[in-house]
Amino acid sequence: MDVCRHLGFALWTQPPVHAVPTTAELVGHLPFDPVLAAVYSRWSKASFATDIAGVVLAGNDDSEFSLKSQSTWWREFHQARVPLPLFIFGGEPLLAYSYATVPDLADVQGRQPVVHVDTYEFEGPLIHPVASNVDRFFDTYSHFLEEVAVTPEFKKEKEAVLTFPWDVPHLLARDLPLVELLREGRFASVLPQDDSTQRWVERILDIAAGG
Amino acid sequence: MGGSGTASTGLPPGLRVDEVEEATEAEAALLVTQVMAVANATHAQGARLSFTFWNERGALTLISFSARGVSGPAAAALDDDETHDTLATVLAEYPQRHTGQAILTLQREQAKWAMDYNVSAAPRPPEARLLPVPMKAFPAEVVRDSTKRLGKMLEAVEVPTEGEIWLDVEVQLEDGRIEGWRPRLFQLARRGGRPRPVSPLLASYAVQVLLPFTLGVGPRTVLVRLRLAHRAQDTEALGWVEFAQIERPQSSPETNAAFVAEYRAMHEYLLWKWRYEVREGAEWIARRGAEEMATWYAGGVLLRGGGYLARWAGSATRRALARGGEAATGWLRTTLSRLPGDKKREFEWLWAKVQLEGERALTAGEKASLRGLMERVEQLVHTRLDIQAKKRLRDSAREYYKTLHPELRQLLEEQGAAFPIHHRRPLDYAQLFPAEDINAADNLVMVKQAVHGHVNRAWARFKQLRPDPTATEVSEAAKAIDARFHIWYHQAGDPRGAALSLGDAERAALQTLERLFPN
Repeated sequence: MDVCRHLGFALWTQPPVHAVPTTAELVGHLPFDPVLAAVYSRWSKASFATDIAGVVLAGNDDSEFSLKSQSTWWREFHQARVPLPLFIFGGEPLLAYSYATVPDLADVQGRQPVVHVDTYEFEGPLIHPVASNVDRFFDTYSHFLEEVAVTPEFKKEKEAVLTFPWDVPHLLARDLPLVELLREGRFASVLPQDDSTQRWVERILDIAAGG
Repeated sequence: MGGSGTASTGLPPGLRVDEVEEATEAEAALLVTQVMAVANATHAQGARLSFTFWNERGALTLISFSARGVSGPAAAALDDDETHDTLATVLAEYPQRHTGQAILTLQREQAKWAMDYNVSAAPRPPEARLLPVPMKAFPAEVVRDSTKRLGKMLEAVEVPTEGEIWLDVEVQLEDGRIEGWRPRLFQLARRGGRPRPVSPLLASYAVQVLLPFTLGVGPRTVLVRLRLAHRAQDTEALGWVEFAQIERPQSSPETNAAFVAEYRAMHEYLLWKWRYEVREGAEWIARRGAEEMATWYAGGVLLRGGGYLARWAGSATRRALARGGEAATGWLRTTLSRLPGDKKREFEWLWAKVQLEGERALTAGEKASLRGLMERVEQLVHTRLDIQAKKRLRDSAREYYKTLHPELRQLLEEQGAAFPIHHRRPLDYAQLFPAEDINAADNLVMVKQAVHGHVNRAWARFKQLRPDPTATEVSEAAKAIDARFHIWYHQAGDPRGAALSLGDAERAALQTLERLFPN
């Protein structure tokens, strides 16, 4: 939020309207991420930097884009083709890219890693890990926004020429628990096998290793 | 006086009426000097000099010149001031009264030049300027270099004693620059004795005729016919310009003429800012965004990029840009968005340099970079998109869609991710349509997530039926899918009167696809 304010990007929040949901209400047996629980205790819904790229958090409300509607949509169209259960909590404005937590890969404190979910592909969603937990996700995304803001294109035309997460492997490489998960192959069952994904993951690991 | 360019003044925004008026006066004065220089070198009674201009509110672009009867007996001396004053009145006042072709004729009488200014019907030539030039004199280096180049060419020419020849010279122009000289034809008109050299004065005179032609815009050739004659009493052959006229490159039939005209007007305006506002103009151009300059880049690549794509017969770049308008600028915008940021900036910078300073201003390294970038652009549009390239294009599509639908701002902030943009002809098949802008407005629709899910299932089925489809098959599939789902396109709510549910629409689409593309 501070980065959005500092850089003058769009920022929109709504006060809570419902109690923080329990997982049973939304996706049955999955534990609700504790960082997300803290977020939803402050706001029912929020969006960040939607004027240039941005993240829209699904609302803990009854709107079109709610935690509940996202869980229903995910189960109806996509979950069956993904080997790990995912919990959709946000997305990119006007694009079929979502952000989800991965309950099965939670750390000892119960914090769940975050993945970028591409539902454009015909054969099924493409999953790319972007943070070791929701806090790190917002931290990485705020650094991404800072990098966008210093590009010549943004200074001249307010054009965001960097793309999240592809253009910022160096930011993801700073998230050492995420790097560890990647090294251990914990995302192996969901990572796409295409060349560009392989190169991108190798780049993250290389940078983390000091390359 | 004062005020800036508007629709009512017909001037581009950013140009003030008073600066254009000043430029008009300066241009008239420059042409008076130039016509006087040509007239003063002509002494024969009965000589007739004709200057044909295209006039656009005082912006006078010379399109042809001819001289007749210049080898006759000399007339009496005349009053230069009177000639100057008459000419100044004609060129300052008459062009203000019309737009179109005008012929200024000077006829040498015994003690004066009689002048005539006639308007005639003719189509607007492509090199004609829309704006007057605030020049007080032609650049000294252009005069010096041109005289030297032509002088060198004439040193190689000899005229038989008491004989006569004519020589055609081609001068290649690009905007205000002289890009090359080439002798085209040499013919003996009258035989004579031993060969005589040509007077060096001819080169200076011919350059005076040529200089006003440099005030046009765009690529063109001036054909200059020199008549060279030797008289018994002289040691050197003398000569004059019999005519000089513009020859225009043939435009390709598929090129969109309105787009080319729009490009030329923009190019002339940018040149004006760059040349005559010097530092401020260069900064002004640097500050303009690629979006604002899209026509300039697209037109520049179309009209000047042929040499860089010589290996690519029927290149997608050429076909895309030849369409003109949004089809061309959108294609270039989308294609450049696929280049890394630094390469995109380099592409724009090199094309700006080519257009403002000419290709000869590029270093060998810059030429190689530009060739590499042009080839890379051509290759990109024939290449299947990977996940990252698709993401970049979708980011661009979103930004473009937002400009088309500014009313969506609130929806975007609050519910944005529930309404993804869908490419009617999917990005997976973009390489099958290399000359088309995959992010064109008519290829983008916003749909609800559920609609997108059903549409994607239909495309997944098509992919099973035709794993390696042709462009025609993809177009047919897109048409079939649109037919079932179009009522949900661009709808944030449920469409009124939908006879079918989304599930029904998906089933119907699958049936159509299976009928069209049997296993």
